[in-house]
This record gives sequence, structure tokens and C-alpha cells, in this order.
Amino acid sequence: MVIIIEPALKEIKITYFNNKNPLSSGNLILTGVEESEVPNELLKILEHPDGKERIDAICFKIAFGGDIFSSPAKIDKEFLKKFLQLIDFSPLYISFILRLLKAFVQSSKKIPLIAFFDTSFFNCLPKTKKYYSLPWDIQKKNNIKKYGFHGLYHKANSDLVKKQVKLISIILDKQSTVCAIKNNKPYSISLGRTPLEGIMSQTSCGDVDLGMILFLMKNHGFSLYQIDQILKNESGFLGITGYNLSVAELTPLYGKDKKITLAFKIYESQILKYIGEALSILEGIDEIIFSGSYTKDLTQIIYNLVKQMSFMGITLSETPWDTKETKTIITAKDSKVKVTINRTNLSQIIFNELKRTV
Amino acid sequence: MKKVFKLKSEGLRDSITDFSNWISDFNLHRDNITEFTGTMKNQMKKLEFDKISSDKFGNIVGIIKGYKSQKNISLISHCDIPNQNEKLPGFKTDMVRFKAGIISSLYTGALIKRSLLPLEGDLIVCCVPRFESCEFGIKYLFDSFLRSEIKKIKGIILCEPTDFNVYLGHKGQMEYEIIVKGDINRNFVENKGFNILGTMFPLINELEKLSKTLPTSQTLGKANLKIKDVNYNGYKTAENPSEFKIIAERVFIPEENLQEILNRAKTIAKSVYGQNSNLSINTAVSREKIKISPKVDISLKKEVLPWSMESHNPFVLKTLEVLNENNIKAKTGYWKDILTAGSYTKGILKIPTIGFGAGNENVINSGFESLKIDELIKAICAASLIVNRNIGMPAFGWNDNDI
Amino acid sequence: MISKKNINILVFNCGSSSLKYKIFNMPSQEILLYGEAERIGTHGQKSSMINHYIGKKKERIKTILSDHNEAFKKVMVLIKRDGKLNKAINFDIFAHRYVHPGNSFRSTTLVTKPVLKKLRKTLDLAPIHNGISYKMIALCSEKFKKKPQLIVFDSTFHSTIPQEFSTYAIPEKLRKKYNLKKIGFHGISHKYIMQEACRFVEKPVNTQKIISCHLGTGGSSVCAIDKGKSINNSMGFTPLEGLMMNTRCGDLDPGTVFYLMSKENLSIQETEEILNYKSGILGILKFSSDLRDAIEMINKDQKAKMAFDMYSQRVKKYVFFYSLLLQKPDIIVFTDSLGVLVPLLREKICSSLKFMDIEIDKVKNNNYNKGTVEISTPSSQTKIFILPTDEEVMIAREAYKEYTHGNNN
Repeated sequence: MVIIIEPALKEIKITYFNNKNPLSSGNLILTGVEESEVPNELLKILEHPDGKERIDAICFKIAFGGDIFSSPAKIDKEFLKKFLQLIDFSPLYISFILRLLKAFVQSSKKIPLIAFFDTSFFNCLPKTKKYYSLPWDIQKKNNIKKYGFHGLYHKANSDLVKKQVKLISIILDKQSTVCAIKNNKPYSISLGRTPLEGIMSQTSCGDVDLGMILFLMKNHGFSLYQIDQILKNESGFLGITGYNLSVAELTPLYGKDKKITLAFKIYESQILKYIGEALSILEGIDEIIFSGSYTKDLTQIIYNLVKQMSFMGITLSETPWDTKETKTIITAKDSKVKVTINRTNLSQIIFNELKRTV
Repeated sequence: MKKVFKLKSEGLRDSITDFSNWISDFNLHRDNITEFTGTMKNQMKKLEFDKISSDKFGNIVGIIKGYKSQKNISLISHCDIPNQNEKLPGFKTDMVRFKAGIISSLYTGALIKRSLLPLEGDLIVCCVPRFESCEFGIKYLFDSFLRSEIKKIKGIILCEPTDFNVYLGHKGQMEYEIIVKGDINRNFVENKGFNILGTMFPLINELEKLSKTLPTSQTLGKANLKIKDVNYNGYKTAENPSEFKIIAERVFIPEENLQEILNRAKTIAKSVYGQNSNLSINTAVSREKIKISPKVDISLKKEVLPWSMESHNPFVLKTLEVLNENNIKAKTGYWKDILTAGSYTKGILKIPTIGFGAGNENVINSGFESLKIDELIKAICAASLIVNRNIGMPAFGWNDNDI
Repeated sequence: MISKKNINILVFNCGSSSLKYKIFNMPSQEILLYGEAERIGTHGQKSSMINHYIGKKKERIKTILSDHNEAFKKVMVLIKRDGKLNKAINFDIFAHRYVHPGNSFRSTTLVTKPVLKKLRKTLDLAPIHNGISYKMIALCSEKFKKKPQLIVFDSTFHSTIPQEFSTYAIPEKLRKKYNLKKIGFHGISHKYIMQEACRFVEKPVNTQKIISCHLGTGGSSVCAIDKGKSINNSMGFTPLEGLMMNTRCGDLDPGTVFYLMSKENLSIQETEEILNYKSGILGILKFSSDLRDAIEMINKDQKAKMAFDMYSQRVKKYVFFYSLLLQKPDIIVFTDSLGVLVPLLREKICSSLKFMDIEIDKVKNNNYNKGTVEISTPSSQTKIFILPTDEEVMIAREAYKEYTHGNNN
């Protein structure tokens, strides 16, 4: 049996897999749990796994691997030392993961522990897309580059197509990202380092004019921390609509409420911008795959986006589209570009990746 | 960040209350320093400090380790240590001056540790013993234990009463003596004190007049001179002449020079008694005896240098910024009456130093120190914000929900 | 019908160290005289000068030009001199270009004292450019009290950008309080491109979907034009957003900038300086901020290749984005110095459009000489043009329209 753990600061998702299929899953909610107790709470899963099968491996999904981890890695003391070097990236998150992993490494059971990173896929981004147009020496000195995000999703999509296929992989989830893929490698990614660029989310702003931010700081006295707080916690759908509702809760009101409609239209235009970028670097398009946990709620958005591209010879199949299968092709047989919605969830993706690497 | 601190501090409320009760009742003096040190260290251990130590003078140091040891911040509080039988003016023997600073610094460390917010440098919490108006404890702390730290310390926060403002310095203070020796009591009848007073009076009068003309510093306030004590040691032999002493407490500002103050005092004394060539007149800074070990005493000058920080120093600006962003209306200011370790840390070591704490210095000095636990917790949260802003690892762009 | 009034307009177009001027006769658009004051306020080896052209005569006057006001005065002296020799050389109104009025002005405006007051409040949006223009306008008001002045804004053309493209996803309170939205720039140039391109293909302006690429040695921006209206521009509230430019960074993750500011202890001024004056092509190339210098070294220097590739890929990002918005443009135009003078750039951008049946003719592209030239193949579904911009005549057109519209007699 394999256990897949997806830790986040507010809750930890745990899925149990036997040889082929997911057995069961659950969430460990962390609000209210004393932080120093979290590793112990999590370790309890080693004590009472479902069924009496032996645990073959425990996999952890980790959001950042930086330059250091370009592929799944075995977690041991050496790993922890290396991982600590990434703390600058998101100190609270990395120190949280460290505490969890330390507890597992120190536990007496000798179960293989493997880390899967959301950034590994992007370590080979081409240089022209990896770096920003900032002074080169500043970028080198501070190790500034695009690290990417949703690498596990994008790689899974990439593995579904043949090598020569030009693919645009679009993930609609808590964050949304667009990735251009060719030869099973990434050529562009909309989220470089933080969610303050790219596509908006429930509370983060997506692309904004940096000059405007400097204007607010210089002329109106906003401090670095205040602006950061606004852009990451008070913007996005919340900033446009004023409602602190999840994207799933907002979608039914698309078209019915002015502000919500505007928010979704901005969201669509941001995604379209990055589809444009992907097209420009691929110089063509054979397939588009939508993934992520929000795909089931954002069918309208997917429809609008693909419709906008219909002039490229993309013909959609009739709605409503099938929602039972894991993968649904939503374009007609004669469409020049094949568009698929891939509902494989992340834990299954990690499990498949594990089987591939082992 | 404020939310995290507020939440965690509530969890510490009981511990803070118990500890505050203990420390308020503890009657600290030179002979029970070891007991005090021991309890403090135990408390630090309970609060999960990473490294705890003390030295023979009663300096207590607790460290919360950061992920890197780039730049550290130190929180310094002090405990006054009077001689056993000495009665501090205006105090009952069972009260010790300002302890809220000690509680504050200790629990700020605990709060930072509990919050699990990563630090770029270490947080060094120190409690420093203060003997009568001299900076021995802090000097010994930095000369020995923290010597290697001096270059790494980015800033020092003095946990002293500032009414939640950011204090940037204070005037200096020196206690000096004017010693007039010689044949002063010829023709006077011993024990007829009023004649001796009559002799001393002109000098006292001159000093009083002088005190009214002393300079003022724009930021730190007015210098002043107070006669602390006057004594006379009676008729002696010709070999061992009698002397009288005037002990003055002189508060001075950075523009003044200590040697010149002494010289002027001497000149004034000479102008009063100059005609009498049988008298010798000297001035000197008073000294305090500290016992280093059972057989060794050292004597230290009772002088505390003035110091100030520039209000545009990044450490000050960052501190003000984080306080005002979190609805604590902090302004810059200077202490009027109390003396702090800043004289040494900024005045001599040049480490950026600020003061921050609950309570008002006037209320504290009046001897009626009492602080609500809520105020103390507010100060602890605020100090944690200051530490976090200065050496916490910032996380830009990503919020807790996104990852 | 009201007959079109015949007036002469003196147009001023200020750069950070230059001052271009032209007297147009309107509505004929005939040029009576023109010139450029160069190297104003610069302290280099080459001295400042005024190049003055009238009829077939060309004058090159070396003279000290310590600031734009001094340049203005010296230019007016020349114009007065020429006016004495030839009565036809006169002007009825001034027309100025103003780059960054924020949200305060939405169309070409006649100068009055209240207008000047309102304009003063926009100075901090673009301290250098707005400052220079404002001082000129104020000086004109002072010295030529009786001559009407019109201000033509770089943002007016973009006032038709729909909400979903001009709104940033930041809190409403903040947007409302400081009027934060995508304002757009180079509007005068993009509007000119639209008018001229449609004139060239002989189709009405309200039928064409156009992508206009204004690629200069200074600032660059791309504009999406849908049937006569601007619907998007790569620059935003400030000219810092969008393309990689000579020394400006263009699109960049703010989170990374904050990280940098905190780590390197940068002040806001220092950060602004880096992002506006040390980034872009200069940031990668180091020895120059001119794309042409990068191209020269493209096979010898890795950084030169990277600078060129990054620049062209960024333009492509916006060309493709706008192609999706417009659902394939009818016309793509390249203009301003780099757009007109660098064939390799056009080739790199357009060759990636091939899969959309948009094709560039390499021979025509490489053999471009001057004027408006079509460089797409006959079978290309979208026409590609090289079209040199002319902001001055556009300023004159806009000023004329506003002035005669307001003076119906």
C-alpha cells in the first residue's frame, strides 16, 4: 500500500492506494491543532492504516523544490539539510514541511519516503522564459528566476501526449496556470515565482502594473508589507466582487451579478493572455488539456475560452459534456485542435508518477 | 502577523500571570542573586528557549535560534540590585524597580518561539543586573559572553517603560564629589554643625546657581544638577585633615564634556574657598564597589553616558512602520528621568538601540509600579512584531491558503 | 455644410532630451516648416543643436540648450524670423503632446487656467515627461497669451478599452481612491497607424481589426484595435507594464521585486531606478540599451542572443494575445524606430504566426526602404505592414478636430 500526503498549512490531504486504485482518502484539518502537535497527529497514520497491508512508500507533495530538486527525491537526513536551503522561498511553508518530514525521518519505521515537487518539471525551462528582464547580475546574485508551479499536473498532461505534439496545459485550481509543452518539455509557464503575476485567484491579483505599485508606495506611502498584504490577500475575485466566496460558489452567479461577471471576464482574459504566450512560443497547437480541481465548476469558463479560439479551427462538441469519465474530449472529431478535460486528481497523478519512477 | 501573535499570546496568559506574581514578590538584593538567576533560567527552559546561560554577575541570557545567524536582535531588560540593607529613596524594601521589562522580554522570546515564524537571525534575550547608577552588568555581558555577538547584533530593544512609543535615548548621569580638605575647622567648635554648614553653604549656593544655567539639548532635554548628599568627617589631626564632601548628581547632555564639568566644579569650589591656602580642593567621579569574588572587589565609576539614535535609522523606521501598521500609535521620544543600558550599547558599542515597553517612566519612578496583565500582553505582542519585522523571514506573494 | 476652417497649427512633441516642432496647415496637412532640437540638457561630447527645415532649406544650428524652455524660446525666435521673411509662415494655435494625464483628461483639451491647475496635479504620474510638457504649456500661456493652446493626450485613444481589460484585480476601494486602471500609452501613434493603415487598404476604419506594434528605441507598446476602437494596450497605468523595453523591465512578478527590495534593502527610489533605467535590454546586454546593438553581436555573444530573444518573445506574447482577442486580426502593423528599421525582429515575430495562415514575405521584409509597405505574402490571411508613425501630424489632426468642432462658425 502507498500513502500519498498533500500537506498545506491549513489542512493535510491523505490518500491510501493499493496496487492500482485509491482505497480511501481523508483530510486532516489543522486549524485548532497546536502546531507542535501536527507531526505527531500525522504520524498516527502509520499506526492505523486502512486494512492490514504493509506500507510500501509514503509520498509527499511539496510545492517548491527550487533549483536543488529536479525530480522526485528520497527523504532522509541529507534531504532535510538540502531542503532547508529553500527556506527563503516561503519561510512559513518550508519550515512547516520541514517539521513534518523531520518527524517521519526520525520515526523508527523504515518506510521509504519520497518527495514530489511542483517545480521540478520547470527546471529545464528555456532561458529566455526562465529569466526576467531585470539586470542580469541582480538575478544571478539573488538566484532570481521562474520556478513555475503545478509541475505535477503539467507533467501528467505532458505524459498523455506523444513527443512531437504541441500541447497547452491549463490548470484551474486554487491557483491557475498555463504551460506550453513541446517534446514533453515546458516552454513557458504563467506563474513564475509568486501568484502576484499570471492569473488571478480568489485573493491574489494576477498580472498588475509594477509601475502602479511603485506609484502607490512612492506617492501614497504604502509600505512593502502593506502592498504585499493587499495584493495577495485582498485582491483577485475578492478584490473585484467584494465577496469572500470560493470560485465554485461564485460561478453560478456568472452573468447574473455585474461584479462577479466582471471578475470572471478578467480571469478569462488573463488566461487568454497566457494561452497567447504559449501559442507564440509553440508556433502552433495540436492539443489543449484542462486539469485541476476547479475544472468541474468552471465548465462555462472552459467553454468561453475554447470558443474564443474557434477561429483557429477548434470545433467544440455539443454540451453538456460528459462528466463521469476521468478524461473527456470536448472537441468534435474534425476539430483541428483536440481539447480534453482531464479530471485525474493529484494524488492519483503522484501515485502514477511513483510507479513510473520506481 | 498580529493575529498569530495575539492568538498564541492568549495561550501564554496563565504563565505570564503566574510568573509576574512571582517576580513582583521576589525581593531581589545582592545576596540572593543566585536564586533569582536560577528561577529565571528554569522559566526559560519551560518556555523552550534554545540556549540558556548565566554568568557570575547575574547576567541571564536566553537565545531563540534563527535559521541563519545573519543578523541577530537582542532584547535587554534590567533588574536593580540594591545593597541588602539599603533603602532606595521612595521605596519600601520589598519593592524593586521596574520588572515589567523582564517579564516582557522573556515572554516575547517565548511568543516568537511558539509562533514558529522563521527568523533570519537569533533572538537574544538578556536580563542584566544594574548596580547603583553604573553600567557594570551590561559592560561585563558584552565584554565576555556576548563579545563575539557584537558585530552580529542588528539592533537592541531595551525593555523599559516608554508608553508604547519608540524611545531613542536619554541624557547622561554622573555622580561626582567635591572634596574640600584641610584646616577648615580651626576656630570652630567640634559638633557645632551649623558652623560647618556655614562654611559649606557658599559652595552649595554656587552649585544651586549653576544648576539654573545649565544647557538644554533639543531632543534630550535640560541638563541639571542636584545635591545628593553632604557630609563632613569632623576634626582630625593635622596629618589627617578633616574634609567635607558635596556629592552631586549631575544629569548631562551629549554636548557637555565630563572633564569640563569636573573642572568647573573645582573652579567654583576654588573661587569660594580660594583665599584659604590651607585647603585642598579636588573633584572626582564617585565610585561603586562591586564584589567579583569573595576576596576581590572592583570599584566602578558612577557615570552613565548620554546616547541617542537618529530617527531616520532603518531600525527605528522599520519598528515605527510595523507598529503603526498594526494600530499601535507609536511615536519617537526620549526618556526624561530613567537611565538605561543604551548608554553602553549605543553610547559606547554603537549598536543601534531603541527602547520599547508598556508603562510610563514617571509612574514607574514614583514607586507605584503596577501594570495590568493586558497591557503587558500588548507590549509582548508589539515587541514580537518588531522582532519579526526586523529579523523574521518575509514571505512575499504567497499567502497561507495558496500553497 | 460648414466649410472646413483653414488654420495653421504649431505642434510640439517633447521627448526627454528632444523637442520636435512642426507647423501644419490644416486641413491640408501641408508642412510649412519643421525641426528638432536635440540633446537638450545633456552633457556629452556632442553639443546640443537645432535642426531647422523650411522649404528646401536646411539649417543646423549649434547652440546651448540647457532645458526645454530655452529650446522653446530659441525655436520661437527662428519661427518669428522666418515669419518676417515669408508671411505664409505663421500659426494660429499651439498643439502639445502630453503623455500621462492619468484619469483626469479623457480627450483633447483647450488650455485654460483651470485646465492648467488640473494638469499640475498629474505631474507626479510621470515626473520627467509630464514635467517637461507642463512647463512648455505654461511658458506658451505666458508668452503667447492670445494664442489658443490644445493638449493632445497619449491616453485618449485608449479610453475605449473595455472594463474587463482595463481593470486590475485589486480591491475596489483602492482602485476608486487612486483611479487605478490600465490607461495605455502611445495612443497618438496607434490612432495614426489605424487611420493610415485603413487608408492604405482602402477600407473603412470601423471594419478593420488591427494589431499595432509601436516598437521604439525608448518605449514600446502593442495595441489591439477592434473596428476603429482601441480595446487593449500592453502598457498599463504606467509605461512600465508590458513589453521589455530599452531600459524598462516590462512584465515582472511583484513578489520577486518585494523579495529583492527586502533582501538588498532597496529604497523605493532605488527600485524605481532599477526597473525603469537599468532593466530591459540594458539589463541583459549591459553594454547597450539598443536592440540593434544586440543584433549585431547575436552570433558572438550569448547575452546578445538572449536579449534579442526575450525582446521578440515578449512582443510575440502580446501579438498572439491580441490575435486571440480579435479572433485573428485583418492587419498587423510595425512602426517606430525598431519596428521600421529591424527586419530580423519582424521576421521572428511574424514567422511564428504561420500556423494561423499569416505569412511574411522575407524578401519584401528585408528590402524595405521607406514609406508604407505591405510585407505579407499575397496568400496571407492577414496583411502585414511597415508603416512609419507620424505623431506630429496626428497631434495636428486631433487639435484641428477639437478646435474647429468647438468653434463652429
